[in-house]
This record gives sequence, C-alpha cells and structure tokens, in this order.
Amino acid sequence: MNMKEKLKILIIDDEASIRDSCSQVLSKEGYITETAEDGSVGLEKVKKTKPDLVLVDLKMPGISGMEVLESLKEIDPDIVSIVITGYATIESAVEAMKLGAYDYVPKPFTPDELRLITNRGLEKRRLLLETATLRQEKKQMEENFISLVTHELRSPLIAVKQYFDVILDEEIGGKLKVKQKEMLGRASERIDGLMKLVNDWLQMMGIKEEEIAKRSQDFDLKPLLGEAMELLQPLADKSEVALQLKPLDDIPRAHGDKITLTHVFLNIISNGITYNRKGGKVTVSLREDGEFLAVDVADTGMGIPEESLPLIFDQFYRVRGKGTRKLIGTGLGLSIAKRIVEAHKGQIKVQSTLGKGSTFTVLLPRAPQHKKQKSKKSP
Amino acid sequence: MDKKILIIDDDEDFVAITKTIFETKSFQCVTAYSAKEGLQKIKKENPDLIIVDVMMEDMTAGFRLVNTLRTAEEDSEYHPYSKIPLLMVTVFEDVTKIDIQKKAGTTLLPVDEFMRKPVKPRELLAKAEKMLA
Repeated sequence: MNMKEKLKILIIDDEASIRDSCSQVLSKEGYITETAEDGSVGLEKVKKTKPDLVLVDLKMPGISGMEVLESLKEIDPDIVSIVITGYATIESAVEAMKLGAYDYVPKPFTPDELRLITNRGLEKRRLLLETATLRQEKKQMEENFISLVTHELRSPLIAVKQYFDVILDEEIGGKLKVKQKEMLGRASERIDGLMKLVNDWLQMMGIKEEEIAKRSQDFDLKPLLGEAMELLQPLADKSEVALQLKPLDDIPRAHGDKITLTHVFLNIISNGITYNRKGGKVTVSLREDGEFLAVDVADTGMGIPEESLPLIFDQFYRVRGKGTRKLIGTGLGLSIAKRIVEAHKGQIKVQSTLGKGSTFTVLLPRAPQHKKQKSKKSP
Repeated sequence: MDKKILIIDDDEDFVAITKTIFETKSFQCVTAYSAKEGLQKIKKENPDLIIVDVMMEDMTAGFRLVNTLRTAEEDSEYHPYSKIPLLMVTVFEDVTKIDIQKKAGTTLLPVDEFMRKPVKPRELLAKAEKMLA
C-alpha cells in the first residue's frame, strides 16, 4: 500500500463529472490524483508533476486527446496513458494505441472497470521504469568499464615508461654502457608504441555517434585546421617537410564536434608528414563540395599501392614497403578517423599515385541555415 | 637545496621514480599514497612544494585535495598551508577527455602547474625548480 501512495495519476477530461468520479475512485485506491479540464492544462501538469499514468479523454475542445497522446511521450517516454472514449469505436481506439496509448476505457464505465484498467496500467509503468533503470545501469557500466580499463592498462605502462626515462637520463640514473643505453632506448620506444596502441584502441571504443552529435556545434574549419597544423609544425620541421594551408575564401561554417575532428586532421596531416620524402610538402585546402565542405590533405610522399587503397581504413592494416618499415604506427589511426568522420555523417576518401603522393579528402556536413548569412550583423 | 617536496600518488612506482629524480638533486622528499594521507602529511611536514595525482581513492580525490587546501578559510586547520605551490600530475585527461590543462590556475582547478603522465624527468625538475624559486 505504501508504494501506491506515491503513484500519481492525472485525469484530463473536459467533463467535470468524469474528472470528479475518476478522481474519487482512484484516491480511494490510495493514488494521488490530479485533474485538468483540457489538453493544454493537462500537458502543463504533466511537465510539472510528472504523473505515472494519464487518463485522457479523446474528444475535448482545444487540443484533442490524440494530440495530447503525441506530446506525452516527448515529455516522458515511459509514461502510461489510458484513453477514455465516449465514442468507443474500434477505429479511434486503434489510432490512440498507435500513438502510444496503453489501453482504453469506453464511456460509460464502472468504478471496478476503472480500477482494473488503472492498476494494470500502473503495473506496466513499474515495468517500464525498471527497464529504463536497467538500461541506464548497463550504459553506466559500459562507460565505467572503458574508463576503468583505460586506467588499469595505462598505469603500469606509464610506470614502466617513467623508469626507462629515469634510467636513460644518465644525470639522474647514473652512467650506462653504450650497449645498455641502446637496448633500453629501444625497449622504451616499444613501450611508447604499446602506449599509443592502448590509447588508440580505447579511443576507438569511445567513439559514439550520439555523443558526437551531443557535442556538435557550428564552427569555422579554417582556425581548426590552422591549430592542427601548428601542433604538427615541429614534426614537419624534424621531417623536413613543408606545411601549407591554402588561402581560403569565404567558406561556410561546418557542423561537428571540434575535439574529435581535430583528432582526425591531426592524424591525416601527420600521416602526410610521416609518409613523405625529405623536402616534400603537405598542402591542406578547403573547398565546398555539393552539400558538404571538403578538406583535402595532399602529400608528396611515396603514395599508396592501388591494391592497398581499399584496405587502408581497416583496423590494424598497414601498408608494408621499404619506406614504411622503420615507421612506428598502430594501424588504427585511419580507421579511427573514418569512424569519427562517419559518426558525423561525413565521408573520408583517398586518391593516390605511387611515387607521387596521396590526397585524403574529408567531407563534412555544413552548418544548417547558414547558407546565405554572410554578414554577422542582424538587420 | 634543502627544499622539501611532498609526493602524493597511489601509484607506488610513480612515487618511487619521482623521489629518485628529486633526491639526485638533493631535494628532501616525503611521500603519501592517498589524498587522505596526503592531507595529514601536509600538516605534519609543511612542504615547500606538493606534487599530487588526481585519481587515488576515487576518480577525483586529487581535485578535492587541492580545493581543500586552496579554499581553506582562516579558521581551517589547512589555512597555514593554503599557499604551498601545487603541481598536479595525472592521466586523468586521457580517461575523461576533459581538457584540464586549460583549467589549471583557475578557481575550478586551483593548481599552479599541471603535467601529463608520463612526465619527462628533466621537465619535472625544471618545473619544480621554477616553482620553488
């Protein structure tokens, strides 16, 4: 009985007698009842008091019962609604059920019929809430699992890496024999590789379309590309590769998640630098391409053999060749980039000529409703 | 060079490594393996610099520690220690994707410096020496 006391029922009906009689019957059952005389008052009350169950008349002046049903699920997807219908035709009942009503009770009805149907509706509500809780818990567990694994995998690697750093810093760790230093250096590099693999892998697990959608905003691609290139300038200098951002005209804003997209461009541009030749260059340019905005990253590197092209976005695939053997990579970078871009409903493509270079193209959606809005001032 | 550094981290290896790094430069090192122990050691040792991790007893133990220190009112037992330089060292960012580097120094994260693990011994030394100067 205690549980019952907490359950709230809202009765929406334009007839005062129905409201009062329902309210009376259900209060006696131990439920908290509330009433509304029309659809809009009813919806306001649903938002405010969050009832467990709603009894709604189909035929009312103003917002109809059908419209109420449609709006209810948007307010609370797990709400249970029961339709009161005076013209108890099968058609209207069926239509109401299609709109998410749980059941219907034809007028006139007895208190017993009302009790029976509400109790059943509330049992349904209990099940729905339980399912929702379980779903939430499962999601939480999945998220925590990734965080936990990240921490547990990374911590020991970081500790090992720190020991290597201290030992290899002879001023701190003491003098090493040349051979020792060489071997420890190599071991340390392997740890770097493993750490990168763990990071990449976990990042891949973490790419979720709904999260990207949640973080998405309208933004200018140019500064984002500029920042990515600035971050990669030291790598470019070291590799003796020139970085160039082509002058960009008035390009519309893009729509997406800046954090993950930055990662995409960092990955593609750094590939362009790494798989390049000394004195080569990487050119980044921006253009409009149909409904998309396109970013082209062109390098002057060794190019990708034709038979490898369809595979380079696959997990753990790496082009093997004389130029690539010494390069450290996890084989996950491009597949992560692809997943991120596709989660944005964009595309990633590649064109390549062996010995001349490759061009990666990222197609991203434009910001909505910004097509003609060039001046920032409002009229 | 008798400055005293308190290292607070639940990772024993990280504490051992950091201690080694600073002891070669003849700093005095004291250690704590949880935020709780850290707070006790702060009062007991009154260090010149505190190096603190984020994830210890729980995901945010380190954040609470720095906040306890920095926001200590005059009647708080931590008030005498509220201005000790704080260096936060963590992998937290990778786990949560929150960019906390940018928040260092703000009221949200009242630390003086922030470093990502793994830290380079030389960078750690340089940063600590600058903070102690």
